[in-house]
Amino acid sequence: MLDETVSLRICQDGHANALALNRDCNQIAVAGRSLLKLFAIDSDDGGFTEVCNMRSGKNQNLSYSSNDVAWSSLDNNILATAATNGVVSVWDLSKFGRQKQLLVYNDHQRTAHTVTFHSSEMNLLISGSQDGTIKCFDTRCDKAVNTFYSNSESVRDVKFSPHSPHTFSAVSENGTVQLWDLRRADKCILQFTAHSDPIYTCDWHPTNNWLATGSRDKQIKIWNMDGKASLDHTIHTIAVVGRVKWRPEKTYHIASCALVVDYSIHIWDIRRPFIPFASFNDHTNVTTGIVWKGTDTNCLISTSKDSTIYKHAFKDASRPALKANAQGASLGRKGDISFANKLKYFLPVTAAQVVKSNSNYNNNMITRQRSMTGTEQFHIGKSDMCRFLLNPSYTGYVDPEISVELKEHECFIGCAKELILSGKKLADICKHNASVCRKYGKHNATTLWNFVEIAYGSNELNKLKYEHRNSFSTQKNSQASRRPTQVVNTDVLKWDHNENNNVNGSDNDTELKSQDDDLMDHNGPGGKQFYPPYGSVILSESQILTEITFDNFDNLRNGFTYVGPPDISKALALPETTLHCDVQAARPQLDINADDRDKSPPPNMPVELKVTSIPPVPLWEPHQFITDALLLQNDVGDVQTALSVLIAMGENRKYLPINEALIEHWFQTYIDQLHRYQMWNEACRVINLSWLRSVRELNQKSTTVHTNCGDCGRPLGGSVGWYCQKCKSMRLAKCSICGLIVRGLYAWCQGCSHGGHLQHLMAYFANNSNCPKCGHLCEYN
Amino acid sequence: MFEVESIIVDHKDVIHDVVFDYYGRRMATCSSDQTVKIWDENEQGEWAVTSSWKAHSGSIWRVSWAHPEFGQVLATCSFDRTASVWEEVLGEKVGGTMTPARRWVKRTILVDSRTSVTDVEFAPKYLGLLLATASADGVIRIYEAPDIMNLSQWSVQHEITNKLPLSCLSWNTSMYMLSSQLLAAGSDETATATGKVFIFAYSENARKCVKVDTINDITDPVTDLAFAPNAGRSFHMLAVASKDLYIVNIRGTSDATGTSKLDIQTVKHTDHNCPVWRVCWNMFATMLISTGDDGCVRIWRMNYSKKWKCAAELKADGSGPSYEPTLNSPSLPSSAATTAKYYKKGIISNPNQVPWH
Repeated sequence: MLDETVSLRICQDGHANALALNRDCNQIAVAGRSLLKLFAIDSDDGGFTEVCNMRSGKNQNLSYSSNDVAWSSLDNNILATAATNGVVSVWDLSKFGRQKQLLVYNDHQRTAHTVTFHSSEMNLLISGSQDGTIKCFDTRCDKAVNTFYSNSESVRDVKFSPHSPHTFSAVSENGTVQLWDLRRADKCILQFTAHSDPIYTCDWHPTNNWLATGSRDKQIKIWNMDGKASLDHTIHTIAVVGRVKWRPEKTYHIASCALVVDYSIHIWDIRRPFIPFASFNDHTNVTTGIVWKGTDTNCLISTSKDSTIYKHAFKDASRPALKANAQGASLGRKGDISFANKLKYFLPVTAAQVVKSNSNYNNNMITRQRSMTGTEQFHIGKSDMCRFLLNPSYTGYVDPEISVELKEHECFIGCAKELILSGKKLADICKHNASVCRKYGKHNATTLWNFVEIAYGSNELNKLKYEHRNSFSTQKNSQASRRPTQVVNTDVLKWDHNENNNVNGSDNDTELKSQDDDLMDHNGPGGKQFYPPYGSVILSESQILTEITFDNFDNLRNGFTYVGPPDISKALALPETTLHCDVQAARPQLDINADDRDKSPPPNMPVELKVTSIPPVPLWEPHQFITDALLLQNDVGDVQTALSVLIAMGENRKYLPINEALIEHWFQTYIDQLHRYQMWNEACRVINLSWLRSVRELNQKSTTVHTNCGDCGRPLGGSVGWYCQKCKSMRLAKCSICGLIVRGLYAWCQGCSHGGHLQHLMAYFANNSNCPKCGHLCEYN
Repeated sequence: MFEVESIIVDHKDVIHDVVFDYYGRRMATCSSDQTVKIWDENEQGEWAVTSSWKAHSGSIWRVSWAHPEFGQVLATCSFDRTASVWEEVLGEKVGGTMTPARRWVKRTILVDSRTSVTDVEFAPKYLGLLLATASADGVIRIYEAPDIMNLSQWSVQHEITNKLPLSCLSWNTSMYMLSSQLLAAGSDETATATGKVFIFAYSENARKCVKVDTINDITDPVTDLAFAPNAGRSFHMLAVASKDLYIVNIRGTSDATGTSKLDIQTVKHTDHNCPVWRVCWNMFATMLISTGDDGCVRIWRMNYSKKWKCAAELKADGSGPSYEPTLNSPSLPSSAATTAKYYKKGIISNPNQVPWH
């Protein structure tokens, strides 16, 4: 259980400022404003036990209020603290009670920030203070043996170098790092400016001659101290750096905690300076002390202003880089994909593998794809980015339709520009639009337009009266019994013609023709063209016939080809009411149809079918059909076709049971899509053709033309046209050039409010740049 | 089908997000190297960085474009626990060139979160200038700029705390058949097997934002989610990237008493066989792309039976972008296929002897 994260609350009030670990790594000292305690790290369960409380009394002596604590690196019983009043104390744990405070040095004038023991000379310790000095103490003397003047207002941290026994580094609030020889107090060995802000902490790398500094500028800098200090790495953290500590055994890892804002402890890989390798987010206040447990690379002990101590197990650390989204992707306007992908690095190919892969080049990729573990490759954080472009000239696939269907934006833009929505006869509009859609490979849309043409293109159909149907059901039934089940569209339509004409008693050509057709139908072979294959008579052009398979035609809408057995309920219950009810309500009927269709005859059906009872004919309902087709078209994402059909249908759209909210939704969508392709004119045309108030209003929003009188400069707001109420004149309506009243296009300068005929002004400004009336420098271009 | 063109980026760390603007004419990338880059397309169709700046003091997770009506405005969110709003300003015309210098100015910094801000997104235009942030401590914050001309004034409108950490969020793009604006958020928490996608309803009039639903079908950690752009459909679609790709259809319904409800259907697509990192829709919501941990981009399309099918699989390293057709020609249930066959045979073999029923 040693590798578990353990925490302990150390006191009720007063937060910890520092933490130190003894030589044997089995005890820690925690120091704070009113706190100085020792805890043993239990060897069996890894938890903490309080060993000693050196501030049990109500002693308010400031000498006890510690900023820092240090443990002798040689003697487990010797401890030193740096107090806020500048006192540096040395403690001997082998003594009892007050005797523990062995020595009290009063040398510093101001707060002592830091204290540390020499690594080999057990009597020596140094401290840094707000008074700008570093003092060296010998436990055998009761006064400082040496003073180092840093020439700055405050020394924040001092650390002995593990690489040369008498060298120590000192960092100060003016952003400089100094290197001192313990034996020479007159002059520092080296001094350089490391940060532009105060440096609060430094730490020597245990094996390399590297010094890490942490500053208020939120950066940790790694300095190579061989010879002249050179900056090797800069880590950008998210908050002011309070402490840094190199991770043992891991050359590139360093732990840091912040002085403010950020309560977490982050472990960084200095080679990847932007994102922590790992984070411990347990503390609920600022972390003030961190220490690695000896050479145990997976155990970090920390204390915080939240008055707790934590022993963090590395496996419990959060790994922000692993959680971060490693990819980015976005789709462009032309169907192109931008894709950024985190690179996965592979182990270098060994010699043996090279030989192998040379002999078989194709194996190269496979042999190389032995990826490193996540930890090993952490520091190589990099993405590559690429774009997938739709290739117009691609010939690798036989089917050209694939490229067409992926070129959706081209279809959209083309259709938006070329589709005719109004201003012609519906039949012509449909013909034109069908050919446009075919040009762009939108076969379903083509079918739809063709269908609309047949269903609504002729005037007779527009007058369809559905209430007449009932009375003729018998007649229909008798006819229906002789029809193939594939009977669709035109047949039914013609049939409806018949009805109408019969009812109206009109004896015209259409009726005659229809009766002829019927006759031919009954006679079979002669009327071949009236039951063409698949029942897809609506496909007037043979080309489409070949392009549209039965399958997708069938899917165009469940009801397009009605092949199931007659649906009594539908035939009898006249759809008069459903016409205007909600689309949703009509859905169940569709499903019935769908089920029926699936039960259509097996392949080895007898050619003749005996009809035992006369089935009622299915009532084919064009309005419902077209509605469903439009809804389907929308649900698969083609609002353009659906809305265009709806607009082009003009008054006929009233027959379609589509509720207004949905239509408005379509309008908004289509207009938004046009805007995305910056097709303002097309969007405007659609808005103008709308019959919905809320949509039409879009064109009246957000553009206001403010007019001023050119003579007095007052706004013309309240008046009509160009009449100025103050000047009581209409002079503004006249052209500045020719003096005549402008009808049609009027251009004017927004600076001086003068203008006139567009043509005149264009001619005038070709040679002049000043206003013809007032000499204002109009910026005409 | 697709040509792969690699782009040289000098981001010094992993790129976490790539986003086209509303028109698809500009591109923003953000990276762990704490910089944001803006890309513009030149006349030759090449993309080049036109702006690059250090935007945060931590990894930048995501970037979001505001609707162009509000100007050239970006929002970024970062590991440094902040989200920022940036605006492009045109400087003086430099030298002899007629193109003025472009510069991105930090308009505001939103510092309310105590943990990493994992996602930021501007709300649809009709809600005004509104943005939502999600953070790793499970808080969703909705900020509003009451004056759209003043991008430096943002106030927290709502703060909703969830138990689970949040990794992503997405605004719905329309309110068709819904009583309030929807907002979805996903959690990447791995420890519990509870639903990881939450639906919130934001009501501008009632000044409320409450959790209305949890999609319990998705229990794996969610890395990304995206509502499909408004495409005139009668239902709303939400793509969710998790261990697999999910496509969620949400339909607004109202019962007899008039209270509105959400009818949610979740479909799981297992084609990736690896965790999915990102999902992205095209402008028409007819195409969805999802990116997997294996570095493959998959293209999904809906067929006429309203089913989503993986249509293509693209690899950046050029090892054979493959494409399987059958998009618009829908896959049919077998029964229908046999039906079709039956008719074809009968007719083609002998058109004059069509069986009568």
